[in-house]
Amino acid sequence: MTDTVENTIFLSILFICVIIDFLRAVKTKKREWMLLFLFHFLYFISSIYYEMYILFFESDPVISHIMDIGWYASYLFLTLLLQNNRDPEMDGHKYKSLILIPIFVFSMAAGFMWYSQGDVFNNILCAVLMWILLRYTVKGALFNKEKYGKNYPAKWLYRSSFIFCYLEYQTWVFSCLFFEDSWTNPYYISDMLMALSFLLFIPSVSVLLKNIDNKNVPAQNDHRSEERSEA
Amino acid sequence: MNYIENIYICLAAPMIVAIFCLDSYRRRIILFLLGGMTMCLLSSYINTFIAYVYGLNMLLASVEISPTVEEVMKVLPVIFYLLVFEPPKNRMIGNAITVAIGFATFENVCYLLGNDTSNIQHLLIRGFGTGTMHVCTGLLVTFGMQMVWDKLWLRLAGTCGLLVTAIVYHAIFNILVSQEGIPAYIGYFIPIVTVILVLSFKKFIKKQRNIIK
Repeated sequence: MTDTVENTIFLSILFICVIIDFLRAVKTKKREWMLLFLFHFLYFISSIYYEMYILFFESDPVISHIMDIGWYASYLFLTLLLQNNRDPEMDGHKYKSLILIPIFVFSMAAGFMWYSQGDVFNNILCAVLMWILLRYTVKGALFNKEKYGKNYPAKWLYRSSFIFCYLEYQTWVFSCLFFEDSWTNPYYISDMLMALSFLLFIPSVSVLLKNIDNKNVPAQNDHRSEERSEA
Repeated sequence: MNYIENIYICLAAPMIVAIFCLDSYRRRIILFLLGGMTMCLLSSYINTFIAYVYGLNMLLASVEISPTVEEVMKVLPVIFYLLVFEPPKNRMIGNAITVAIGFATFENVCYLLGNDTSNIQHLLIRGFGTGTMHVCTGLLVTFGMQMVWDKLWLRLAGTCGLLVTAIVYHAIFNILVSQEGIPAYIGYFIPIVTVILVLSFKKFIKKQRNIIK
């Protein structure tokens, strides 16, 4: 019962995000909203597929690749959203702390493979995509903070992305450890928080675009707007 | 049991003859139609093989394997054309739709030969539903290819992402239509609603195509 209610709330929140993103993408015609829409939409339809499969066939999928690649593709679109607002100067900067990201993601992947006897290819693919996403998030945040100070334009976007990644890992860990069907189960609490983290992206992108409009933007965005006006 | 390769030969023969008699524009349309049908035939072999390997029945194979195989196979002729002939971008959408039509037509012919064809209402809904779904997914992926991203790897990532969107969309459609009653009707109407939405926002998509540069 708890599972059904939790899934319904989770999907409803995602659906609201999809609608808001779509309407804003249509209204503003901005690439950022389009990418955020694709991120939310893919996560939403992959979750819908999984829930429908359980509802109609009363078991987990035999081969889980469809919803997995759907979720992974949503990470890809989030990465593209971060990449879209990347500063070109960022490439020349190296941060030693970034080495912790592959260590963390591949250790977690090894842990999941060992604990739940999960598919090797699936876990490695997920780890690679999470590595890229976390690398863009952390490096972008560190570089922008260094260049623009504490109130850099994409601050909330990087924070939202980091919170999402953290909650995604937390939910995976809890799903391996806690199984009871009640609201005190940390897995459900973590999943609810993750659903709320999807909402956080909407004001984050709004703030980012507002900063871009106010010309408080990284160099790449200036370059891009020049290209747009040429086109 | 259907011998789909025999059906394929029967349907493809007049098209192959026509290819030699037509001008380049019409020849290209027939070739893409044939390409779509060929991909459908190959998808069927691959689906059967993977289902056998995993020990899945026809129903589970249709919701777990065929969406991925069919969508990937359907996009191959378009990718081949794009990479080898480097056509102008305005030709892409039309070619992708032609491949999708060829694919859906061959799939429908095989379905009709293996199932009861007396209920015209059901066949109408199935024909429009499946046909529209293949056109929708084909359009989605081609739209991704058309987005002129500034770097090749970005274009690849965007196209892969949209290919996955098409796969999941196809899988949801297959799950719904594999049921009976209301879920099946909802499934058949999803692609039609999608096309109506796409046509409503056509102007926006055109604008978006110009923006994403």
